[in-house]
Amino acid sequence: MTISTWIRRAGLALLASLALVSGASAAQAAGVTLKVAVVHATKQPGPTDPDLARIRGQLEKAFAGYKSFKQLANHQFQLEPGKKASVKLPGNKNADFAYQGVAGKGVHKVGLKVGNNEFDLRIPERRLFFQAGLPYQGGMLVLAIYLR
Amino acid sequence: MSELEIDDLLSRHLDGRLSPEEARDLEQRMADDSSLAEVLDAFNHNGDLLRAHLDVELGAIDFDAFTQRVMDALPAEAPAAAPAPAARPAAQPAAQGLGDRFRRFFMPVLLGAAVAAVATWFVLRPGAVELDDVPGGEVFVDSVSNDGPQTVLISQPVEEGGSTIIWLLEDELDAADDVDPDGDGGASNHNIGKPDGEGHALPLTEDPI
Repeated sequence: MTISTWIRRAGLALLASLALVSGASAAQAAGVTLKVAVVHATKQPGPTDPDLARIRGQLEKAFAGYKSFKQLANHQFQLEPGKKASVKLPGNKNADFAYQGVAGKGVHKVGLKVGNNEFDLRIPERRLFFQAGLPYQGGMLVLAIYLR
Repeated sequence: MSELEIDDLLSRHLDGRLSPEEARDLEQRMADDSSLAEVLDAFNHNGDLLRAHLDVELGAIDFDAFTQRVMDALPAEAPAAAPAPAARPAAQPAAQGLGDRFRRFFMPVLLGAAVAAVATWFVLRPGAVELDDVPGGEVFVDSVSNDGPQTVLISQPVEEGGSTIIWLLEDELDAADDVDPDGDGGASNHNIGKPDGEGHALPLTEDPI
């Protein structure tokens, strides 16, 4: 097999990969996407959910007293002005997100309501943050929230 | 015939690699030229000397010990020998040839695309939470409305890699325990802002932007 054959194959593979990735990216770029992971954190030692592998370091750093993290649910919404997104939480509670517009370059205004508590947030894109503290099954609930 | 060609002929004769025609030709030449027979005798004599020397040298080698040393140096379990490749059929139908060509040329391309698709799925799948490589996490809380029994605490990171946390805690004891799990009297990497009694304005200790 010659080098030119390998180069042709590598070129075709690269083009195919780019087509796949760019297609997926175009679909994602239609608006602001909100991702929310509902996590059960407990102080008893246990494994960390593989679905949380990418934010494990952040979780362990932010919640140093907690030893086990398990993802209960994962949600993704396309945020638009005037449109609400609701995440159902254990214990008949909801976390409601309301998009309020752009606050600056790459920063968005979002209203968050959890129970009787309301927050007006300015959230930079691609910054992970948490809402935590609601008790659940001997531990607490953590919402890992991410905007992109 | 040159000297080199004759040497080659004699050499191949000793190795038994002459064709019947060449053998007959050589015998005829040796009958006509006695010097060829002398050369052949010299070849045979040299061969005998070489074989005798090799016998002496080989007799001095302890092959049993050598084999044992090699076996001792091998790992406990040697990998299984690879199966012999299957014999390729002498002729193939045209359709099968095209199929082989397609597999040889396009299979790596399709495999590369499949790998890219799997990688894309892992990155974008709904079940995974994405975390950008850029450190930080300054989410700014403009206002808080707290009408319930829970305590609201906002902890802001004071070092790179930290994250904003909006705490909703059932009582203040739990709050102190969770927000300051080390028990050292302060959140190690967070500043804590707490809403006022009315629960509307949030006095953050540090502007994250």
